[in-house]
Amino acid sequence: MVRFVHTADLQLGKPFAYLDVERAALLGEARLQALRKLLEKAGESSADFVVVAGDFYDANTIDHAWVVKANDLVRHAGVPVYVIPGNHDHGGGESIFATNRMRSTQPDNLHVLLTDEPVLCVGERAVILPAPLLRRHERRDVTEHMTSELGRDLVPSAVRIGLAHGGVTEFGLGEDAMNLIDSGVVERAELDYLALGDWHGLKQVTDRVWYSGTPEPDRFKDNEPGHALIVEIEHQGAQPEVTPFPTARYRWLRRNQSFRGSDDIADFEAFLDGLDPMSDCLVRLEYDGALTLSENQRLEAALEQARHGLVDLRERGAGVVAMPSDEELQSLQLDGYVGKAVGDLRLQSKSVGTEHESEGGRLAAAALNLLYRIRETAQQ
Amino acid sequence: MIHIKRIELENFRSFTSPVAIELTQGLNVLHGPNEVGKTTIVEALWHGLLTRPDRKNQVTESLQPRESKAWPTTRLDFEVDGVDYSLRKAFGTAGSMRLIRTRDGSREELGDAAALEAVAGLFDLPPKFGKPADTRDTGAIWLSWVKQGAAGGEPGADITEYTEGGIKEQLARLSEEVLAGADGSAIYDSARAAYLEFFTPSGGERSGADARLKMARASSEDAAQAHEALKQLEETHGRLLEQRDAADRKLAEHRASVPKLRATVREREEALGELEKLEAERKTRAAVEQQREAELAGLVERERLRATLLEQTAELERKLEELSDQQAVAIADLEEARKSQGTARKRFETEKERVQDLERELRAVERLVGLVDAESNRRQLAASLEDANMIRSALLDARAAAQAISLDENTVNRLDELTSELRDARVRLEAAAARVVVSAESVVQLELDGEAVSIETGEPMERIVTDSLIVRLPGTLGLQIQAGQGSVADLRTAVDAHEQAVSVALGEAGVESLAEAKSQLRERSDREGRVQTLETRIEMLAPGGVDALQTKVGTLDHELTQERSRLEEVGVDCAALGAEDLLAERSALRTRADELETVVEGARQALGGAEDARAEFDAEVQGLEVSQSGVAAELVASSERHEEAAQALAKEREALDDAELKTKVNEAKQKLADAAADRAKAEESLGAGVLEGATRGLEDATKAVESKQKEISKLEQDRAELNGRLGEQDVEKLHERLAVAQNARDVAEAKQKRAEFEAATARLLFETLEHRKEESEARFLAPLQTDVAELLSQLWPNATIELDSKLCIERVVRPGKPGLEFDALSAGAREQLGIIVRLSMTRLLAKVQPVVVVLDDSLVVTDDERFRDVARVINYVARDLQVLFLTCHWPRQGDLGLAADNVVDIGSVRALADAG
Repeated sequence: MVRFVHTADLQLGKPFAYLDVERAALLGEARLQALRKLLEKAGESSADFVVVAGDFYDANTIDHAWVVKANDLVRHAGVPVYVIPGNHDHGGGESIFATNRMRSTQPDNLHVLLTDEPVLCVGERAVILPAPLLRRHERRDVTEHMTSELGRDLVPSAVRIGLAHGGVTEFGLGEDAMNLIDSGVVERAELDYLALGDWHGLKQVTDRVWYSGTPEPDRFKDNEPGHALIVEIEHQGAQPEVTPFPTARYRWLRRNQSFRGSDDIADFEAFLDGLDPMSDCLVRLEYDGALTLSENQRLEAALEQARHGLVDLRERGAGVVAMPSDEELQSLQLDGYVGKAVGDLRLQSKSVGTEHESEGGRLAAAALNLLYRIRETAQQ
Repeated sequence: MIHIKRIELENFRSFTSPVAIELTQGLNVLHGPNEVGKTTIVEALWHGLLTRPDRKNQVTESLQPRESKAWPTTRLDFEVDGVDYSLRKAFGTAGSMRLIRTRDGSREELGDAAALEAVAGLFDLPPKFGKPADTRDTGAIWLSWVKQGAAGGEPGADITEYTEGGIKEQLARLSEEVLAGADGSAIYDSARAAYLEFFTPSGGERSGADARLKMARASSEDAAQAHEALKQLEETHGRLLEQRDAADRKLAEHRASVPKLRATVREREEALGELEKLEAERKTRAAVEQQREAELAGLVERERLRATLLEQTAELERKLEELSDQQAVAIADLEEARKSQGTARKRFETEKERVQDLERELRAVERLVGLVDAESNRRQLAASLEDANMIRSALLDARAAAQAISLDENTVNRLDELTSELRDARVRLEAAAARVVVSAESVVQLELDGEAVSIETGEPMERIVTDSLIVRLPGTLGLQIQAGQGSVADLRTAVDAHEQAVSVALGEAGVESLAEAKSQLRERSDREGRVQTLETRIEMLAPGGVDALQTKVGTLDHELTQERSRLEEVGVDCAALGAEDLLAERSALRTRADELETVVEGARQALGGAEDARAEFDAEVQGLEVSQSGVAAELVASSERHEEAAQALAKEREALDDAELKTKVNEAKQKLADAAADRAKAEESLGAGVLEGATRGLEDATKAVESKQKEISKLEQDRAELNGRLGEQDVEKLHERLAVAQNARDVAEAKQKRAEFEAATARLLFETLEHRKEESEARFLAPLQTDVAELLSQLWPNATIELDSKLCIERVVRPGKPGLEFDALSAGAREQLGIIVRLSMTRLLAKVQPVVVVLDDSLVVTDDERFRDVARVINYVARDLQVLFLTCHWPRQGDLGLAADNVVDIGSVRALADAG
């Protein structure tokens, strides 16, 4: 019986530079905490070891402080950790794993596998067949060296675990894609389990081929990120038993919404209310629509709340066009040529909020809005 | 329609005494010098109508006289639409106003409040009315006042300032346009301000340092560049790393392949060593073979030498026999030849003696002939000598004769010259003298110079008179003929001198005359010729002189004597010398000599034959001797050679006899065959070209190693360079920097988009407003422009003006000419245009309100000609409106066409008032 934790794509040191420094620091720290969580889980579940299927670090040029912190966590966890480099932290020239900082702080229980030599572990009950990436883009299948004979000479009966980083051919990424892995290697090399990294979501490719996904999400993608896997294999040839467990702190949510009136605004307000807590969420809001000035004020208030309360509100889409309503315009009591100009702009902005909405229409609406604001300011 | 009829004032500023001014309809000219108070009259009109009197404030206090501080009073009498009014005001804290209205004969008097209300109603004054009026508001709705020096480009401002609306309201009413409407202008201004945040007034994008669009674009561009630069760095770095990895891999491959290549070199070296051993063996075998060949060749040579010696011996023996025979024959031939040689020699000696005898005889005869010839010669010379001696005697005579005449040619020539000169002198004298011819018709006795002369008829007497001649016919006639005095005397003197000279010369020459002298000279010449002839003859007979001839004859004699004695000594008979006829003797001797010569010749020929024969035999003997000695020498030499060959052969055989030699040769041949077989065997085991092939193979392998090492060193260099370049790159936290740059770029681009959208929004709003505004203004201004054009036609026919919304004059437009910007016009033109526009505005206002036009010293820079034009306009306006024209240029302006309906001299008015 071999039990181990499968994780990948921690990408420690990811900068999140589109956020301000404080928020970026939160997300960065969360990734370290995910590592901590999964190491603790490994301890709790008496896992024999942990495999990291590439992209342990975000890049070879990250701040070395991350290396020191990660090594420290691994040392204190005590469980053996086997890491292969992925495309982000590939093991070629100037690899982060080859730095003095890594060498000087690397704990004994951290094993960085920079060659495709098989490695025996857990008292010779398991053999890991690593396929480290030694450059960012590899045209060949890095598992092609794996045969049924590979590592067999070490301990013939050991459970055979492949460890690789890349997209499986099942993804249909096309022939030009880099770092492609043929999952047929499982049969060819008689692997009991192939632990993969690169895909950030949790994904089972076959009974024996799994992506653990990243333990802490880092993008707005609904593919079940934020897990690690506990894998149990009774003996060589036995079906692996794979159990995901949550590791993430932050939720990355996507929302598409079209604002046409008060009901839409109410929906959005309810959505925000449902986030528990808001400060553990990031939302990507893709929205458009047209609102009257007063409606728009209400929407703006909700958006302001989200902007402050969420770790990040990523606003996308055409956005809402705020346009004075006829009543609002009439309240301005405009006559003379100003009144005529308002009439012109209203005509031009007719398409706004309809499916024929044009850039010119949006501009005209914005111009009306501007006029309205000018008038309001003057009256105040 | 309003008509101000009378203005009264007292204690109003400089007017302390009461003053009253009557005004009529039409054009009222109020004139006087500067500071006389023209403007004060109009101010009294203004405040008398518009200012509340019952207040003490800045305005009312400003109306008080400076000295007395008394409160002013005013009274205005006017008529509006057929109703008469009289408005009286007393200013000050206790001030009051009173309005008396007379309508259709009924008189009505209104107190303060009612009066105020009535006036406001009358003129439709706005709520502002009642507040202190300010004469800076230079136009009331009904009082169009062009102030001194205020004729600029904003006529509308002055007119409308006091009561909002004013002319614009009237224009709006006339055009039915509201322009911006309520608060529209503020909206327009704000929209314009928003627009100008992004764009320049002319529509271009703002480019100043604070221009938002520009800044946003620049930031966005900078961020993009920074991001691209980092991407580039990342890419380059990645590429360099990959290159270095590739170099490392290649280096490892190359390094791994070097030992294999080196092993190949070693293998080939070993193989080559083996082959070289075989080659050495082959060479040894070949050397043995060569040695065997040499040995065999030595023996064969020995055999050949032996055979040659045998052959030589036999040959020499044969030759020795032949030579012995030859020698015997040669000796016999020589004996014979020597005998014949003796005979020939004897014969030759005989012949030789005979010839010698004959020759001796011949020589004697020939000497005798020579002796005869010498004798003959001597005899001739002796004869010549005799002749010469005779001639020499004659010659001496001839010389003496020649020398007897001493006259020489020079003397004669001198004489000739003198004679000639004398003749010339005479001729000159005769030419100068008178020639007198006396002829007689009958015989007459005359005295000529005292000499009597008789002259016959037919025999005239001629005289040359060089001095004078006295002809006298005694008893009858005396005639003196005088020659030309001085010159003739000189000429005669000259003649005398010449005559003297000639005479002296003749004397010296010893002759009587020139002819004699010449004759003597000829004689002398003849005698000298004879001397020469004789000398020639002697020379011919005795060249070198008679004495030399004498000597020669003597010598010859001596020689002859000696020769004869020598001949006689040898027995020659010299009798012939004595013979008379030496020629005959000589001929006989010659014949004898010729005969002897023939004989000698024959003897010589015989001698020649004998000599030839002797020489022939000599040569034969000599030849035979040589031949014989040659044969003898050859015989000796051949004997020696034969001896040598025989000895050599004997020696050879002594060392090795022929049989042994033969055996040895056979043995050597066998050994050679064996050695050749060994060598062939060695060659076979080496194989043809194998060694060269192996050498080349080794070279190739060595080269492969070298080339690989070169590649390795090149790769190491490449790697070092790549490392250097990698070291130069700043990649610390690169991915973080990249992410930051990407974000900065996104943010900047979003900001730029926002700014662009905002700009487009502001532009759209402003341009929409602007478009509508222009449209509106065009309609709004149309009535004013029409009226202005009507008035303006007095100045510029067909011209129109363009006004902006503030009623400022922008430009003048004339058909077919470029528009003239108002600011670019002259001050005079600006002034005229300003007044015309104001007049038009007033005319428009007058359609709805009572209006008085005040022009206060307003055409100050206009020239006379233009003034006439403007005067026509004012006259025209004054037909409908009451005009107060204040000026200090009266009556001149009247002369320029200003047609006043009423003229008030303010100076007189003031004087009258002051006088009390």
